[in-house]
Amino acid sequence: MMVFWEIYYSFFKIGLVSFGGGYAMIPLMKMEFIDQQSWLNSQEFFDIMAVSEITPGPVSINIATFTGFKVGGFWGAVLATLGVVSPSIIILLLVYFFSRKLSFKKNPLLDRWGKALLQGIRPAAITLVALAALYLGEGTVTDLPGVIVFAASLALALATRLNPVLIIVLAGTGSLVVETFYQ
Amino acid sequence: MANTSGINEKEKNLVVLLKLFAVFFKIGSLTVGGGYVMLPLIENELVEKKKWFKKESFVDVLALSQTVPGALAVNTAFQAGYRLYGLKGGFIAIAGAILPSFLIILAVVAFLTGYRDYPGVTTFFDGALPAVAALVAAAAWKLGKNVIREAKGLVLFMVLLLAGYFWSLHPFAIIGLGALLGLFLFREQPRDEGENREVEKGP
Repeated sequence: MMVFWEIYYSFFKIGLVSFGGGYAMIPLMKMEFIDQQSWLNSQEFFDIMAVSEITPGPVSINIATFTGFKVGGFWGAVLATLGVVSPSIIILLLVYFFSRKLSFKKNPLLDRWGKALLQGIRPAAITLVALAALYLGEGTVTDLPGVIVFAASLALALATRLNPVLIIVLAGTGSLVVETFYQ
Repeated sequence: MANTSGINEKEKNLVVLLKLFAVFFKIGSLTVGGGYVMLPLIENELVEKKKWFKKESFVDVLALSQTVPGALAVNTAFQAGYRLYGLKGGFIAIAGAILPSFLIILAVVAFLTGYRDYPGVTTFFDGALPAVAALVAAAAWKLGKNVIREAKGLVLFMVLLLAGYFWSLHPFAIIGLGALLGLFLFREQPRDEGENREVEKGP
């Protein structure tokens, strides 16, 4: 029972920092699931990331469901998913409630403070995404083929409009092809 | 007679709620690549096809979805449902948005637990993982280019990144520090380039 509550609570916290999509939650996930609880090892976590990227649906929901299942089976998956969406619901309801009461747009002071807050939070959220990239890079780019795949994928992602899923599948299949040729 | 019309009213509501669920279920099960890929499709369904929202009011929905934490698709689903049918609508729309993910992931997990150590699967993952890292790096770069448009923002980002990397600062602390420093750095500035529309409204 305790485990289920901890899964929910962990993903509630993770949902709170996932600004601008699922990647910002990766640093906190690493802390909660690998460093503190050792519910997952790094390899399992990287697998979860890869699968969550190439399956349909919001990445953060995929990550939550997968991690929850690994840690606590079916009900673990249910609670992780509920945990990661709960902050969204609560915060959106609060915003709808208070924006009716305070009408931010007509209140210059609140408006200005709110905007300043957001102008600080947004770069901070990108810091989290950059930390996620560093962590994943250090863990998965460990040999020359890895460096080549990383560089090629980065170039494709930045210079073309290719769907991210296609890039990952391409890298995976490429690795299969190369291995077959060299055996 | 009064009874039947009551039932019809209920049935009509139920049909619309089911449609709401179906819209998000469809987008959730067909779209790969996360929130930024899903948002235009959601807008197309709700504004152009179903005509449940006017374009202007949906702009507000999307802006708020990107401001608060959480998955973009989930934030948008909840707001759309909530605006149409209150809490019930919000929950049904969220259920539609997350159920496909949930079911597909369970299926994948069931498959992977048996086959993850097969040579072919291992090779695939060996190639795919550096690509995943590259995509997250690319996301950081693209988001950064959109958000960090002046020196102050860049300094804030660099300071937080170094502190986060070398002192393993907790993500709550990173966001909190960002918010706090934002209040100091950006409050005095009356208007920023992105909001020319407001300048017109001013005088």
